[in-house]
Amino acid sequence: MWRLKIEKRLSYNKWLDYFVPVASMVLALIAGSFVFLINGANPFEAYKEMFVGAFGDGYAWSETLVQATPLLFTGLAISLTLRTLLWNIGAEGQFFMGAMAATWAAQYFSQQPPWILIPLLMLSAMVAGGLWGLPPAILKTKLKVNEILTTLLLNYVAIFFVNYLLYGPWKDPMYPGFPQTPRYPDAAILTQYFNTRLHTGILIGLVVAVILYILYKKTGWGYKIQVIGQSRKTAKYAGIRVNRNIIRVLVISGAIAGLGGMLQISGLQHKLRLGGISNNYGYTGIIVAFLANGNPLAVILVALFMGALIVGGDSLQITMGFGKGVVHMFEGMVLFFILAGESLKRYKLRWVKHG
Amino acid sequence: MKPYVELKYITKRFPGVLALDAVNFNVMPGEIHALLGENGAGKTVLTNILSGRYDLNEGEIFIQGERIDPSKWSARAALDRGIGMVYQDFMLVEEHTVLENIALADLSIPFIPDFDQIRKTIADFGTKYQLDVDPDAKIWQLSVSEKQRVEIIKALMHGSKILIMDEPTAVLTPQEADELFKIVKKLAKEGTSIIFISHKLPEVFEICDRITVLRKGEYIGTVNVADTNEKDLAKMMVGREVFLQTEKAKYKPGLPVLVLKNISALSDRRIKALNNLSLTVHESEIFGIAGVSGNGQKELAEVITGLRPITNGNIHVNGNDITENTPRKAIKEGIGHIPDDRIGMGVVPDLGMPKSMVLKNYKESRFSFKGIFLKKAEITNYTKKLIKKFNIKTSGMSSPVKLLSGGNLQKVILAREISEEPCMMVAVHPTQGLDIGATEFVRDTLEKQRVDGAAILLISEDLEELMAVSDRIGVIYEGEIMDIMLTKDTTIEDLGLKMTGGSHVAA
Ligand SMILES: Nc1ncnc2c1ncn2[C@@H]1O[C@H](COP(=O)(O)OP(=O)(O)OP(=O)(O)O)[C@@H](O)[C@H]1O
Ligand SMILES: [Mg+2]
Repeated sequence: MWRLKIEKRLSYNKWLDYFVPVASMVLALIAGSFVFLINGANPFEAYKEMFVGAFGDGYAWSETLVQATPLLFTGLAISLTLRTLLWNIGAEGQFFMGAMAATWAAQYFSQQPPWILIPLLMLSAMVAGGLWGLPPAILKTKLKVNEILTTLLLNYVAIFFVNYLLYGPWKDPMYPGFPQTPRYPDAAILTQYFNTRLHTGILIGLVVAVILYILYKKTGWGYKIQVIGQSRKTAKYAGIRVNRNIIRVLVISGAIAGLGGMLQISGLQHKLRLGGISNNYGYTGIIVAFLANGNPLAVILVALFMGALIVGGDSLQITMGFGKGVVHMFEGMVLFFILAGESLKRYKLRWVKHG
Repeated sequence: MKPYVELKYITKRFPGVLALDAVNFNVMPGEIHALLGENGAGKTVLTNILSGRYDLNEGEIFIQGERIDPSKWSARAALDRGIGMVYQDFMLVEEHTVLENIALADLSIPFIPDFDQIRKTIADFGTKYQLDVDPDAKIWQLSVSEKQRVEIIKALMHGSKILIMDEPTAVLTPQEADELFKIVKKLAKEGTSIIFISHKLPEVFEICDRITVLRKGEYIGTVNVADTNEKDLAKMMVGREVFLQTEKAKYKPGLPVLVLKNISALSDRRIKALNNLSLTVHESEIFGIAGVSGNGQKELAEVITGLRPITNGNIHVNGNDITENTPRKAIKEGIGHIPDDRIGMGVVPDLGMPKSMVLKNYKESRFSFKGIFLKKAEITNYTKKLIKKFNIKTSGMSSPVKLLSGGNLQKVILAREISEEPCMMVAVHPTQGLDIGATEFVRDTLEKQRVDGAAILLISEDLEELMAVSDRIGVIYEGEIMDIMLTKDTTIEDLGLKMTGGSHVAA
C-alpha cells in the first residue's frame, strides 16, 4: 500500500521560489480550462481572449495598469503588516476613508492651485486611513483584541459612513437622484496619460513600493519590524518596544491604503460615487500581499497579474459572453492553485510504501 | 550476539555541510550505547536517520540482520521495526491527560479506546520500570522529568526495542537524572536497547556499556566503557586534550553592581514566584544561584533583565534606580542576558548570523547612519570577526541560525552579549547542552569577564559548574534566597540538601 507522506521542509532551495509559482500557474490554467469546457467554450480561445484583453495593445495595457494601481496600494499596505505578522483586513475601509477625506479636502481647499491642493488631498487621505488603523492598533496592544476582527469590522463602519454622506450631506444637488458628490475641481484631478484612463497614481505606487523596499532591506526600522514579526519574545528581549511599533505599523499601513483610495478618486473617478470607490481592492490586496510574500517589489508584479486577471476576465464577458460567475470561478481557481503552491514550498510530499 | 540495528557507511549532506561522512554504528539488544561528540558532530542527525526522520544520501541500514531499502525507510517504518524516540521537544498535548496522550500515540488502538486497558498497561510499566506517573494528570501540570516518562511510556507502548534519547538529562536536575538512570538500567536489563546522547561524561560512565564517538561528521570509533577513561574519550571527541579546569583569579570583589532589595514577583500563572528576595552582586564577582528548577530562577533572571515587572521591592544597578525596569532600560544600564530559551528568545530563528549579532546594538553609529540606514558591510565584517573569535562553525554566515547545532547557537548569543561589554551579566544555564570544548570556552569567557570587572549572576542546575565557577552561591527555594555562602565554604552535598529546603526545615 502506498501512502502520501507530508513532511515539513527544514529549509528549501531558492529555486523553488521561482519554480513553484510558475508550476502552479500552469496547473491553474489546466484546471481552469475545465471551467471553460463545462461552459462549452474552447479553453485555448478563452485564454487567448483573456491575454489579448489584458495585454493585447496599448489600451489593454493601460486598463491592466489602471486596475493594478489600487491593488498596488492595498497590497503594499498589507505587506507591511504581514512582515510584522499582523493581519490588516481593514485596507478596504481605510481605502474608503482615504477617498472620503480626499473628497472633503477637494471641497474645503478648492480654491488652491494644484501643487498645493494635490498634496493636501494626499495628506488628508493618509491621515484618515491612518486614523482608521489606529483603533485596532490600540485595542490590540492595550487589550490584546485580535486585529483581524477589529480591522474587518471597521470596514463596514467606513463603507456605511461613506454611503451616509453620499445619500445625505454630500449629495450633488444638481443630480438629486444619484448618490454621488459633485465633480472634483480641476486642480484636484491627476493627469491622465496617452488618452487613456492611466493616471499618475501608478507612479506614486511605484515610488511607495521602492520606499518600502528600502525601508525593509536597508533600515534599522525595517530590521526591527522583521524581528517583531518573527519572534515577539525575542523582540522584547532585545529591548524593542513591540507595542509602539505595532501601532506604527498598523497606522502606516492604513495611511498607504488611504492614499490608494485618494488616487482612485482623484485619478480615475473624479467624484465620490456609490459603487465607484473600491472593487474589493482591500480584500484582493490581502491575496496580493500574501502571494508576494510581503516583498514590496513582488507586490508590483502580483498587482499587475491580478489587474490583468480582472481586465482579461472583463473582456471574456464581453467577447465570449460568459457570465460574471464563470469568470470569478476561473479567477478563484487560479488563486487556489497559487496559494496551494505556496504551502507546498514549505512542505514536501512523498509517496512511501507500506506493508 | 547479533546487533539489533546496524548502520553502515552512512553519509548525509546538507547544503554546504557534510553532516555525516561514512559513519558506522550498531546497537546490541539490551545495551546502553552512548553517542558522543562535540556540538555539530552529527549525533542528532544520525539518530534522525535511524528513526526515519531524515533521508540518507549513502549507506546501509540493517535491522536484525535484514537489509532495509533506504527508500522505504520512514518514521513510520522505523516505529514498526521497534525504533522509538524519546522526543526532547515533548510531542504532548498540554491540555490533555497523560492517559489520553498515551492513547493518542498508540496507532493500533481502536476508534473507541479501551481506557481501562491502557490504564492498566501504564500501571504495569510503572511497577516494572519505576515509570511512575499519574495517568489522570494534565500534561501541563507535569514536571519536565514526568513528561519525559510519559514519552518513554509512549515509546514502549509501540513495542520499541530501541529507545533513542537525545540529551535527556540536559533538562533534568541531578536528582531527576538519577531516577532516569534507574529506569534506563531496568529497561536495558529487560532487553530494550538505549541510545543515549549526552555531553556529561560522568553520566556516560555511570550507565553505558559501549560508546561511539563522532567528530565533525566522521566516525572515530566505538569502545567499551570498561576499556576507556574520561581523558581518552575527551581526546577522541575533540582531537586534543581538554582541561575542564577554569583557572580562577583571586576573589577580590569590587563595588556593588546589582542590588536587589525585597523583590517579589508573580509567575506566568500569577502565583508568587519571588518572595521578598534580596541579593547583591559586586564587580569582579560571579554569584551562583543554586536551586531545584521552578523555584523562581526564571523569574529572577527576568526581573533583572526587565522582562517581568516586580510587585514589591527595588532594583539598583550601579546606584541607578531601575525598579521600573524594562528590557530597554536594562540594556542601557549594561545588563547582558544569556537566556535559557535560546531559540525562542535569544535569537530570531530564521535570521542569518549578521542580523543575529547586532540584535541589540544595530543602532550604534558603527552599524548604522544615525540609527536609520544599516551599514551592511560593517555588520558583515563585525560578524566575521565574531565568528572567528568565538570559533563558530556554520555552513554559511547567512543561513538561518536555527540550523546551527546547539553549541554553535549558544556561541552566537554569547558572542553578541559579551561583545557589548556588559557591567552585569545574567547567564542562565549557559553551558546546558554544550560539549566539553564549548563548555570550557563559555566558562573561560565568563571568567575573563569577571577579571575585567563585570558582575555575573550565574543560574545553573549543574552544581559542579556552580562550584567550579562561582565566588559565592545563593540557594533559592520557593522564591527566597535561603542561604548565601562563599563557594570555598560549601560542598555539593551541602548545597543539595539546602536546595530541597533542608535548612529551611532545620531553621
Ligand atoms: N536540517 C539541517 N539543515 C542543514 N544543516 C543541518 C541540519 N541539521 C543539522 N545540520 C548540520 O549538521 C551538522 C550536525 O548537526 P547535529 O545536530 O547532528 O549535531 P549534534 O552532534 O547533535 O550537536 P549538538 O551536540 O550541538 O546537539 C551541523 O553542522 C548542523 O549545522
Ligand atoms: Mg544534537
